[in-house]
Amino acid sequence: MGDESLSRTQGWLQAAIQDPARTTGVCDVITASSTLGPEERLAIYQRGYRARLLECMRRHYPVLCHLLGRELFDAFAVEYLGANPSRSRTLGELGARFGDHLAATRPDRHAREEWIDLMIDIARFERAFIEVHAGPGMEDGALLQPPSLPEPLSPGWAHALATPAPSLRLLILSFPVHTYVTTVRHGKDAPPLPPRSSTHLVLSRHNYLVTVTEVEPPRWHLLTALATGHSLRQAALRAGVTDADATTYLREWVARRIFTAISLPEPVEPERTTERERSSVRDHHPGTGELPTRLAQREPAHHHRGPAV
Amino acid sequence: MTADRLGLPHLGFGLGLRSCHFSQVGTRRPHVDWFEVISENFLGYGGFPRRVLGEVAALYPVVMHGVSLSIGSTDQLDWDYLRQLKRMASDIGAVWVSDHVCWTGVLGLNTHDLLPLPLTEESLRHVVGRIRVVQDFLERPLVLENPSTYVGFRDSTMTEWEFLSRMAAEADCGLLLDVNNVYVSAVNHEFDPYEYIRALPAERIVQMHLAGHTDRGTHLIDTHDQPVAEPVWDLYRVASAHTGGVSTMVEWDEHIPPFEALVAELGKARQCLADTEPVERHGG
Repeated sequence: MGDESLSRTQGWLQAAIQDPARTTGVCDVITASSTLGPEERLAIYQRGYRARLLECMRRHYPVLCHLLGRELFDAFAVEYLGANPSRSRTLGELGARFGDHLAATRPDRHAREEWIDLMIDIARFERAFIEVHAGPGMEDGALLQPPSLPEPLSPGWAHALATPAPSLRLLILSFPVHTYVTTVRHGKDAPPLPPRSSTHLVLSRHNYLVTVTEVEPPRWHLLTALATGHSLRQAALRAGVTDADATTYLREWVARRIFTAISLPEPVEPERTTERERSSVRDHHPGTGELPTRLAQREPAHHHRGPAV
Repeated sequence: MTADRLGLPHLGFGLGLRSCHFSQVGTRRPHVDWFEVISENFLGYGGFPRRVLGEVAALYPVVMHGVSLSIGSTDQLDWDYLRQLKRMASDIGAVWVSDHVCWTGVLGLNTHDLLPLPLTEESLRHVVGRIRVVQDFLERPLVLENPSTYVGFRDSTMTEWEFLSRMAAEADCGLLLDVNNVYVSAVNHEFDPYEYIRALPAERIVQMHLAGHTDRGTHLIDTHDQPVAEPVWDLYRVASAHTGGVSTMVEWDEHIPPFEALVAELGKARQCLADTEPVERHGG
């Protein structure tokens, strides 16, 4: 830590910049110039702080800002920034929790209004898009070759684990906002707001291009289960798809670099598995063929960035 | 390029690498001697911007200019940030790493502004100690810039040029002389900008910045949104004579014009240096 006087001055100035209404003692700290008093000089930093962060929020959420209008957008953003002051060295994280904040502080808690849901969906979609566009990707990685994929019914197929690309994001939204957002981002006339309709989206990146795909719920659930570390068999069961379909979908996603690696569990040596252990496995996973927890924990940690919802 | 201050070369005349010019820089390889990048625009990112940075770094010398080191903060140093900075500098072969003589936040927060320090013995001691630690960690000299400031502190006991000169000597670091910032602060704090520049240790000035500012009537704001003002060119001529010429770049971050306009602004800087007679210095 630095000396106490410097620490005190910095704490005071930061509070004065972030919360101008509570600022006292300005003349004790700051000098006047021949043209500006201490409060007027401090106000330059206070205005700059607010303007800089609001501009950043508008850039991160251009479509939401377009939809709400600058005045209303700024009101929501100021409330968010007050509750979530930046703790990051970069501005990229500034708006990361905006969608969650809007959902947690929605102004219609007593009588739900549809436009609030739409606003939250757009915020979550715009954030996910930024994360996919600017985040880590697999452009320099080698493409996983189809022969690396296990065949259905081959040994280990059921326990195969897929590693998602770090840029993968999965969203369930209440409105199909992706087409609306894309149209507005491209500077075209805003289309009519989409009607409410449960929407399952996959956001991925290949060759630095972000692809947004709306998929049927079973595919989305299969993808989500695989991306969150479930085995192929577990994922297929959760999504309610057949083994053959699960394999077909996985091959397609590998080709699109949505998954970057397939790992198979080490074969269990039967002679070293005691009868007690085998019955224990059966007891805990009756009839599902699920991977025992003990085995799952042996697998290396996956790149579980997690879905955005 | 000739080896010079702190072993760092004179790179010539450079521009800031901004996203709106990515395609132009990548495809046309413009006549610019080097590029400066804002470190935080690339730290933690892995998309197209980072690829462009890699390609530009393969073609041009690149300097990393940070805005979040917060060397003057009384918070602990952010080692995770410093590790990222060091890795990025190594990845792109940055010629040097620079930031500002300022602080950006305390208590774990970041205002994302370059906040001024009280110019006191205590601040100087604090900053010098941290520069030494950071330089040891990065295994390279830091180059630190004078920020534009809008408030003065009652506690201050020395001028900014005295603070910078002593800081550079005691920490053995380099200086990035932002000529526009000198002018902006000189108007806002009513000091003589020529006295400021002539008092700085020329041998420690590694780089100079030029930029535009906005006149608000009662004060100037460092806005980087317009051409370099004439009084700043005058100061640049004096600074060039004082230093004998060092790596210079033009900053333009808002209302960014076509790339050709930036190159033309850089051409003015080249001409200034060509017209400048170095000041003969005697002794150390």
